[in-house]
Amino acid sequence: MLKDILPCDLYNIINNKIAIGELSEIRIRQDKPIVVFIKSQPYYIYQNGITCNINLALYATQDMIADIIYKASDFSIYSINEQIKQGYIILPSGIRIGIAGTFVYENNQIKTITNWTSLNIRIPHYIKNASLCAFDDIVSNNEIKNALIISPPGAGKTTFIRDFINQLSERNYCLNVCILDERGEISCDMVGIGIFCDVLRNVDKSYGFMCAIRSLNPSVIVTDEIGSEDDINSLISAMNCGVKVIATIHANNLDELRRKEFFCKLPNYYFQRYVLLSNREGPGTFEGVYNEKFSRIVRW
Amino acid sequence: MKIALILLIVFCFAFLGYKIADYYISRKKFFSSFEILMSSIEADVTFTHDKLKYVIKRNCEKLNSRELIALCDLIYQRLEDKKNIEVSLLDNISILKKDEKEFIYKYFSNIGRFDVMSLSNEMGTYKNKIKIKCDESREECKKYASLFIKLGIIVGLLVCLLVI
Repeated sequence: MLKDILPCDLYNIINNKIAIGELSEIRIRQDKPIVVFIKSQPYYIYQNGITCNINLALYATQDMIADIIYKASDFSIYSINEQIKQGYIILPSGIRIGIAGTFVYENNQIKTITNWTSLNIRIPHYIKNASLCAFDDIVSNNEIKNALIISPPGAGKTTFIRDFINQLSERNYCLNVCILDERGEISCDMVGIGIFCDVLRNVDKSYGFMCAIRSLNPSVIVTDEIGSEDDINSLISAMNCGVKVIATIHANNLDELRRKEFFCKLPNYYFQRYVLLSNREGPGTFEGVYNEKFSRIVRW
Repeated sequence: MKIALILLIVFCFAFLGYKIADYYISRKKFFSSFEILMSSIEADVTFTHDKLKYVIKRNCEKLNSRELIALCDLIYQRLEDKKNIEVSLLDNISILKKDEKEFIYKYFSNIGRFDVMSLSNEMGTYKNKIKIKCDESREECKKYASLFIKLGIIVGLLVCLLVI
């Protein structure tokens, strides 16, 4: 909840003057104006709401940043060091706070991040039917195809897969769905998580895939943000076990995707569907569905 | 009748002496309990990395200072309500001096702000300070607690001699 982490004054402005449902990000940078993103457009926060005039903007201080992290950690910063090390904090409500600051190393390993200078508070939204544009291309005749959801950051990948899981449940697909929720973002408040879903939270992908296949007998594994060769190897071993995979990845378009070194190691036929989302007309803009040969089969 | 009156006067003055002595006894209990609490919190925080409110709740139950237990309950409630700890939580603790309240407030409001890097260093500083306070309160108690009780009884007897 934003109320629990933001300074009172800032929360009151956001709560009273801005429609929280339209708010996607709050950027707080030390000694810089506080910026909110509403429908992908940046605005400055000022006493009476939002403005485009930088001279009226409210500025963030280092104490403000430290205080937000302190509150987000439930007054126990030491208890969330593992998350801080990875550069973010996830709140139970699914709000993700990205952190920038000074990385501290010990024995060539990140020990923590200190002297925080920026925060990126991302507010998740559950958008019903966000995945309908591609649902029938991924699920047909009671069979799910391996699908990769592609978009730049903040363009609705997580929202898409959250709704996809919900659609499976609403349409009574009695499939065991296992959610590998590395950062707790997909299953944050368990809204839309169907009765056939198992959630492995805060687990890294390689261990999570192995654990899910061995112990939970999933028909489908849904996971967020594939980002390394290890992740690709885990995907391949899961698909080779007969498990369907719905995953997301960061890229602006298919060319960018194909230029990713780790992605090239994945044979084309593993994913039968690629869903491309963008920010062109706001987060979640559907650009098209592509088959395993990267030929467009649906354009919105 | 006279004997009853003598007993009553002596009892009243002894009780007054005890109440003054209780201030020193309570202070001694408070600081020794606080020293134990700090060690328990440090161990708990270092090994379990549990949230501060649960660590405080868990460790305050075995303390023998009622003032400190009450304070821990207030702090737990405050953190549970997602509110910052404030110095006003210590207003009702009459056995502490202003600078001591300040110190205890700082300890509770800072402990959750430490990251893993600074936790043990900062805890060490607080522990050294509380050890000094603990020794001082123990000395004070040894010096004044029994003195005030004895003084109460003697004054009571003196008053009896004068009155009766």
